[in-house]
Amino acid sequence: MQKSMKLTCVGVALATALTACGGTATAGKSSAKADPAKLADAKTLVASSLKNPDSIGITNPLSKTPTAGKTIIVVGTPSPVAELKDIAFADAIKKFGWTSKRLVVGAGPEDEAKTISQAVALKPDAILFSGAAPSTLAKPLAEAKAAGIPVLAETVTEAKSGPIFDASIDGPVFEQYAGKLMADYVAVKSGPNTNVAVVNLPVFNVLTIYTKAFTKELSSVCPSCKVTKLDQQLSDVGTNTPSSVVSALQRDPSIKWVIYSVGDLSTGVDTAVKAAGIKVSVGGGGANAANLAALKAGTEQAWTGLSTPILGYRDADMMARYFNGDPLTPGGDALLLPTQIMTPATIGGVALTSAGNYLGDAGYEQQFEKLWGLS
Amino acid sequence: MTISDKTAEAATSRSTAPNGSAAGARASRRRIGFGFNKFSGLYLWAIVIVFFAIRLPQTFGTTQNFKIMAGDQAITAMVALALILPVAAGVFDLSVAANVGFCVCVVTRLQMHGMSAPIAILMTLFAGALVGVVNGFVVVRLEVDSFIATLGMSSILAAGAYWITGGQQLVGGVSQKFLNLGQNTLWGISYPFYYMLVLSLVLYIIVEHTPVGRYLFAVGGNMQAARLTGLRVDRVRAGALICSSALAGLVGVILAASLGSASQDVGPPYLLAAFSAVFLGTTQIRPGRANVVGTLIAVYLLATGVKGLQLSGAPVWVNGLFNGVALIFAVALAARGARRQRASNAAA
Repeated sequence: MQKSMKLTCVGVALATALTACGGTATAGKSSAKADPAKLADAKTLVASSLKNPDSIGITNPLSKTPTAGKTIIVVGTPSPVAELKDIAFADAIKKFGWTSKRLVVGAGPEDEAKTISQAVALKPDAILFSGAAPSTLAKPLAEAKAAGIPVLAETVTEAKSGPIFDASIDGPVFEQYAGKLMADYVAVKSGPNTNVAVVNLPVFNVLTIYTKAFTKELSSVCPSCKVTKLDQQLSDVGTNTPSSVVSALQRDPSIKWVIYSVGDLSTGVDTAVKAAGIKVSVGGGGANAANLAALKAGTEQAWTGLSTPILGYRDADMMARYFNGDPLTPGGDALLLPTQIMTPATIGGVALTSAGNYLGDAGYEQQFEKLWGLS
Repeated sequence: MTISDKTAEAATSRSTAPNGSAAGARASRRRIGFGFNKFSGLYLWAIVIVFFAIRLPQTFGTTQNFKIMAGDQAITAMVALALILPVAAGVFDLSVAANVGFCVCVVTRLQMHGMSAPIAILMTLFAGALVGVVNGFVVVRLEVDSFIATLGMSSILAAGAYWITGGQQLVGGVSQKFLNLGQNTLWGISYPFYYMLVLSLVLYIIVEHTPVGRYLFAVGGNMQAARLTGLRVDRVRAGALICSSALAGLVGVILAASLGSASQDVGPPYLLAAFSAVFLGTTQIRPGRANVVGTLIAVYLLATGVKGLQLSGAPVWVNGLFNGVALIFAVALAARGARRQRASNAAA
C-alpha cells in the first residue's frame, strides 16, 4: 500500500509539474490609450480593404511573349491550397505553349528534398516549389545548380540563393500585410480592451510571421487589447484543436475573437464552440471554402483571402520574366497579392471560384494575358 | 503470442518472481484490497478530477465543463470501441482511422452529387464494411500479418480519400438534417456522445454476454487451442475486422455530420489516441483483455487530464506528455496490483 501511495503521489506531483509548465504566452498592454493617428490609419485601411480588389497588383508587361516549348516541374505540396495554386500555374503556362508535370511531395521529413532531386533528374527547364525552407534543401538545390536548372521558390521566408532566381512571391511581406489587415479590422470593429485568441501552426514559418504581424499591429493600434497565443501541432488540426480552443475560451471568457493564421486550422472548432454554448467572433487569414461558407451563413465574422489562382498565375509570370531575361520586378505591389477583408456583409459581392474558394479579382486572366502580350 | 497475451504479460510481468514466502507474509498482513490491478485508472481519474476541480473551480469543476468533455471525446471513444473486437480476436486494425477519414469523404461527396442523406449513409456504411472484407481476406486467406495488411490498407484509404476530395476541402451540398445528426445537442451534450453510449452498450453486451465475445477472446488468447476446440477461427478473425471497419464507417458518417465538411486528412490523427485508449483499457476492469468499460475509462481519463491542463493554460505539447505519463502510470499501477494478487494467491 505504501508503494502504491508513493506512485499516486508521484502521479499527482507530475500533474502539478505539468500544469506549472503552462501558460500560453500573452501580449498586450494595460489600459494605455490608443494613438488616434494610428487608429485613423487603421480605419482608412479597413475601409479600403473591405472593397473588392480590382487589379492583379503588378503592372510591367513582358518584353515579349515567352517562347514555347518549356517544361516545368512543379514540386507539389499535398495541401488543398497548394494543389489549387498548381492547377492555376499549369493553366497559365499552357498559354505560353509550355507544359508542366506535378510531383507530389510525401509526408515524410525528407520527402521535399527527395522530390526536388527527382525533379532535377527529369531535366526540366525549371522547377517550382513552395512552402519549404530553402535552407533545408541544400543538397537537391545544389544538384539543380549543377544541372543548370533554375528554381522558383514561392511562399518561403528566406531570401533567394543558389539556383533560386526569385523567392518573393507570397513571402513574408504578404503575410505581414494580411496579419496587419486583420488586426486593424479587430481593433476598429471591437474597440479597446478587446481580448483575442490567436491560433497558429508554428511549424510553418510563414504562419508565424502572420501571427507576429497581427500581434504587433494590434498592440500598436489598440494598446489595451490582449492577445493569447494558442499554438497547435499539425496533428491537432480537426482533432485536438477544437478542444484546445474551447478550453481557452472557458479559461478566459473575456476573449471576444478567435483569429486563425490559416483557415484550415478552424476545422471542427465552430461545432465544438457551439456545443459548449460559447459565443465568439471568428476570423483570420487564408480563408478556405468552409470559412467563406460560414461567412455567408453569418457564423464567422471576418477573413482575408489568398487567391490561389492569382498566385499560380504570378508564378507563371515570374517564370516568363526569367526566361525572357526581363527584370524580375513586375511593378505595382509586387510583394503583395490581391486580398481583402471579407465579412458577412460583403461576402455576397466577393469573387469566388466555382469550388467556393477566394478568387479576389474575376478579371485576373485577362489582365495577365495583357501583360504577356496574348490579348 | 497474441495481443491479449502480451498485454496480460505486461500487466503481470515479474509476478512469478521467487520469494513467494516473503510475498505471502506481506499478503497476510494486508487484508484490504484496493483493486489497483483492476481499477487503477478509476483511482487516477478520480485524483485528476479532484486535483483540477480544486485547482480550477471556476472552469474545470463545472457542470458545463463535464458536458463539454463528454461531447469532445465521443469520436475518439467510438474509434477506440471499433478497435476492441479485432484486438480481442488477436488482430490489429491499423486502417480504422484512415477508414473513418475515407468514409467522411465518401458520405460528403455522395451528398454533394445529389444523393439523399439516408442513401449516402447506407452506401458509406457498406463502403466501410467492404474495407473490412478486404482486410479479412488479406489477413485470413492470404495469411498476411494483420499489422502489415491493415497498414497497407490505411495507405490505400488515404489515397482513396485524396482521390475523392481531389486534395480539396469538400464544403456544402450536405443537408441541414444530416448536419443536425452531428451538431445538435441534448441536455447540453452533442449527439455523438449518445451514439457513443449506445455503441458502448451494444458492444458491451456482445463482448461480455454472448458466445461471440467468448469466441473472440478464445481466438485472441490462443488461436491454435481455439481451432482445436472446433472454433472457426478464420471466420472470427475476419468477422472482427469487418465489424471494426463497419463501425469505422459509422464513425465516419457521424464525424462528417459533426464537422460539416470533409478533407482527406481528418481520420488518421485518431489512430494513436484510439489505440492508446484500448491498450490502457486492457489494464482496467478486466485486466489482460480489451474491454468496453476499461476503454471508456481510458478515453475519459486521458481527456480529463488533457482538459485540466488546457484549462490551466499549459502549452500544447503537454497534452502528449500527459497522455504518455498517464498511460505508463496506470499500467504500472495495474502491473503492481496484479503482482500482489498473484503473490497473495501463491501464499494462499
